[in-house]
Amino acid sequence: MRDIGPEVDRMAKELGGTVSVAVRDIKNAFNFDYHESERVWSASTIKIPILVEAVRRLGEGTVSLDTPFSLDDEDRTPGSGVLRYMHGGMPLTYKDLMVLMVITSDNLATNMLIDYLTPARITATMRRFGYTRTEVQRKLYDYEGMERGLDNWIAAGEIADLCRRVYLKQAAGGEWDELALEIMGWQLDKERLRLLLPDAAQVANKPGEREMTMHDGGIVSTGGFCYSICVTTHGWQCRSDAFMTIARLSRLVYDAADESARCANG
Amino acid sequence: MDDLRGEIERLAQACGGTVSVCVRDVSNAFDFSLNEGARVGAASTIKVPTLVEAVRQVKEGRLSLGAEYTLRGKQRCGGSGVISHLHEDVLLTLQDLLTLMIIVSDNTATNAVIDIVGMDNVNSTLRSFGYTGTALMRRMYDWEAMAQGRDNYVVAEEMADLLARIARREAVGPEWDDLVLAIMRNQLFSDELGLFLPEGVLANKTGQRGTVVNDCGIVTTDRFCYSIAVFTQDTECFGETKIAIGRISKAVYDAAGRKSCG
Repeated sequence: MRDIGPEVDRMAKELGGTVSVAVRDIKNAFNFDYHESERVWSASTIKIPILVEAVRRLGEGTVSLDTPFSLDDEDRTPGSGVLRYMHGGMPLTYKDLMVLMVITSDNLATNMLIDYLTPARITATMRRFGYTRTEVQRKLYDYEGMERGLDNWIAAGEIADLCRRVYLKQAAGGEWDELALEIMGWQLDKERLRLLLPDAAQVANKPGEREMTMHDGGIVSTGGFCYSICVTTHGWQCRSDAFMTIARLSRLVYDAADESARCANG
Repeated sequence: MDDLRGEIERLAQACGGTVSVCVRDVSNAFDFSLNEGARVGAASTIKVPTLVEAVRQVKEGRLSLGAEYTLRGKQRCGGSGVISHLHEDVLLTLQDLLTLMIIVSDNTATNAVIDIVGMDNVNSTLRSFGYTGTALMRRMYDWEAMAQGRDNYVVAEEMADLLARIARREAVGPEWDDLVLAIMRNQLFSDELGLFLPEGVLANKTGQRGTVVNDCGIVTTDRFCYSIAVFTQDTECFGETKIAIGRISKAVYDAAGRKSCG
């Protein structure tokens, strides 16, 4: 297999700040790590661990897809998503919240889920998987929590591993991981990991963005190969450079996987 | 301005295919046109005239923003959006539908809005503005209509004009155009025209289908304002085309900044 390390290093240094890349082989691809253990502000990529905990609870049977939730008239969490613009009292289900959290990065839906699931239990599930860096400490746009120093964290290596686990049905198990994967596949924001990939690539992902921070993590598959990937970036100067760097790193990994799959198939 | 034309022509040429660009001055900016009269596949940019017509009917008192709708079964449509993934009984108001049609390009919301306002009414309103190319001929994902050769079309010059009217509060009327603009400002998909722009300056609507990659919108800063439409068809690479739209947009933005300074 081609060593993409030097190229990744060059692109990372060109962007500036901290860049991490982790790739986990699922089929005919390869593992790759570049500063994969670096713990960074999660931004919205924390919604992957929250989704995993949400489907795990479904598996436990303590909640069901159609458990009702209602949109509060008062609480309108800022930032991404659609619910903040919808009419007060809108009837929603547990599944609606999971879907909106992932496919529109809806912060209000996410906060309703964090309230239900609790930060401690989401983090505990990550610890059970052996992840020591990923952590949910507060709700989104929780200014009071931020002042107390609470934040949400991920590491590229752990998110790539978690995505692989979901794909292999080793996170929540069986149909629950299938549901998580299906929801990630409905993602409306595929700009970064997806942007420069050929049409043949199927992408299920969750990006994240915050000041000087941009990530994307998910699963890339074609008929011939499959891998999970997470790219995190932090501390850069120019947003569009970060955007393009994630897109180019994604393409670099894709091309290397394509080559390695061709070799594996003789 | 010659520099800007040269730069945009270079970017357009590098995409391959057909690229049309139209900029309309609203305040302290300028007009710019490249292949602006080309009639091209609209993809989801047709949702802007649909929004304008809906708000016009609300202004006339024919529709109410608070009217409630439930969209089930065949009323649901694939492609972009969220409603088709939500539970069947989810209750939405007309304002929710208009918002979702624009900010996540929701196809289910769009088809509902087209049925509510009437396709012919969207077209009459377009004609009343003097537009001869832009047309709504079918609902979203209407395979039968597509097989019959019916499609939705936009023209960069006409869309840039419509958006300039909205920015000047001359499309539906002052407070109503404010509503149109507020919805467009909440757009979740702004990584084409908006890719290289500072945050908070753009209100836009993208469109993508097959080899069509379109984006159009209004750019407002405290120094200048303009509308812009960049429509592309049959270009070589989807991702590179989106980046090229971003670069064309940035070139226009920088030129407007230079003009408003000097």
